[in-house]
Amino acid sequence: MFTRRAILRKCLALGSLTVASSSSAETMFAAFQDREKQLRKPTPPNSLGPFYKRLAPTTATLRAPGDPGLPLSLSGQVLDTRGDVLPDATIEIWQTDHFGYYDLDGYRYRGKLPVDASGQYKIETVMPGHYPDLSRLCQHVHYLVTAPGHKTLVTELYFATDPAFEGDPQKNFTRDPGVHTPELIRPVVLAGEPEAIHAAVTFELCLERL
Amino acid sequence: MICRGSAAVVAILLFVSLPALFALTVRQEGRVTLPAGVSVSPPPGRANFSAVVSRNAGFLATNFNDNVVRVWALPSGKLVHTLDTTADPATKLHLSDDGRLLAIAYKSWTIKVWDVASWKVQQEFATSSGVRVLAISPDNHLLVFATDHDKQIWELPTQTRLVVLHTPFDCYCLMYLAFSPDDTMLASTDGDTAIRIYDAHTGTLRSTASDLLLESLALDFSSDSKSLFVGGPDQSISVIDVLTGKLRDTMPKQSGTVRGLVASGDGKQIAGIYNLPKRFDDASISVVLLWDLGTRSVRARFEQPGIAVLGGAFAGGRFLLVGGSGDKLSIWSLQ
Repeated sequence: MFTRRAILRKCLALGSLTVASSSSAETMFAAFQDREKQLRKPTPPNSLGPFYKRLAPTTATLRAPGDPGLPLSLSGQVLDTRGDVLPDATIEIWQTDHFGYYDLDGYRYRGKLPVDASGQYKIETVMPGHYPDLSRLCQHVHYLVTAPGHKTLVTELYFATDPAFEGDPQKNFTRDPGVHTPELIRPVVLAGEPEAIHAAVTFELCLERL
Repeated sequence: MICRGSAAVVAILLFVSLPALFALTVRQEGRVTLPAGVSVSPPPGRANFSAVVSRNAGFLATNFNDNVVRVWALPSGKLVHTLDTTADPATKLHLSDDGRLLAIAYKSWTIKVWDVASWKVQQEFATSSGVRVLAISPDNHLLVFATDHDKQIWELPTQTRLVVLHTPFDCYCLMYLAFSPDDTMLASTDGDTAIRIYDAHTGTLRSTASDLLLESLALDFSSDSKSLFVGGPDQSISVIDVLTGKLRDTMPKQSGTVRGLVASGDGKQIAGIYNLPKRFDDASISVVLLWDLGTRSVRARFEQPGIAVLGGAFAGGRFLLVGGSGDKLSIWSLQ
């Protein structure tokens, strides 16, 4: 059984690997291995759905004062599979209102925004409702993420608190046929005083290079 | 309270009487009771539900909730063929325009093209992943199918793959495809709200309709292949110039997602199947409007309480539509 290091040494000896650096081959092997370990799994894609609407406004605040529903902060970082931050990424999200309806005439609960220099984003919205006539479908937020040199990612964020999961999303995620993997289900953090409660969810997005 | 109640009664009466006001003639042509446990309405999570009407209004193919593909003669509703697909469930169906061929996509990532008359498999294709949608060209020469990653156009007689068209991104998109009546073009939705019109034989992009803000869920070409009708959650039917991809006209907005479009062969009408309320389920309650393309007005309306319309086709100056509720499958003609 060859170790990874031994294989790299053999590659170097046979000419299928060249070390073009002032550092030693052993140092470069170690860096090679470290770098490989950092490979992240790309965020699984999911349905775009029929309610995507082009030309959404550039805004991070989708929630208006007095909107019904639980205030929700969505935040996270956009990275590639090597763990590199993508500061040129753009995030577009759309979701239903608290009652489960998409705005098809206008752009309520639709917006796009560039991430900051560290690939971070933060969006203020409300917890989306269940579709009123399709309660089996879980609450979700649609994401469309683009970055130069990377595959466009279309995915959905789900909430671990959704009643459909009965508190165990790993076990019950298939109850919504649209949830293909529990990887897209995120825990919800509740904060604030009871009279001003709000929720926060972190959703990291990992894009594949082209 | 009395005033509000009275107003509601008047509104309900008006709503109920609307079909009578608009429809010239609605006639029930056939009614079938499905076997026990089989339903026209898909149960939750039933993604394989499918029902298609051939453009010549000769046949209906269905795949309800029992893993049995059925072919029915229209307008009688006589059951012609059944195919138990329990071992390898059917996922999508398409009937050729003349009703001679039935293409069935299976869960095993295969497509079989059945000859409806002999009820024998004429061709079989392997696909690289699950098929989202498939279609046969009007001359029965081409087969196109779309997966999450690409669209492939095959020549049916030689079983030769002509073209692979890649989708903009992997997105589990809702895809819709339509061949032009002259067999030269293929229109497709790709999940990015644009509609692309390709040369059906070479895959060369001819034009892109990028004026639409929302996804389109229904497509059909005009009989002269010069216009493309599209509709979706914007609740209206838009007319696209095939040559330029530009939006030429939009029919007045209705209250329901457009889930089906069928253009008449004489170029004078288009049938729009709208689902109520603004949802996209295959079996929501439906309204069918027959639009006069010359006057841009509704010349006939069909709506029955609780009925989901599965599809329809123009034939002999009338629009034959198929729908139902529960275990009842019905065929109506609208004239």
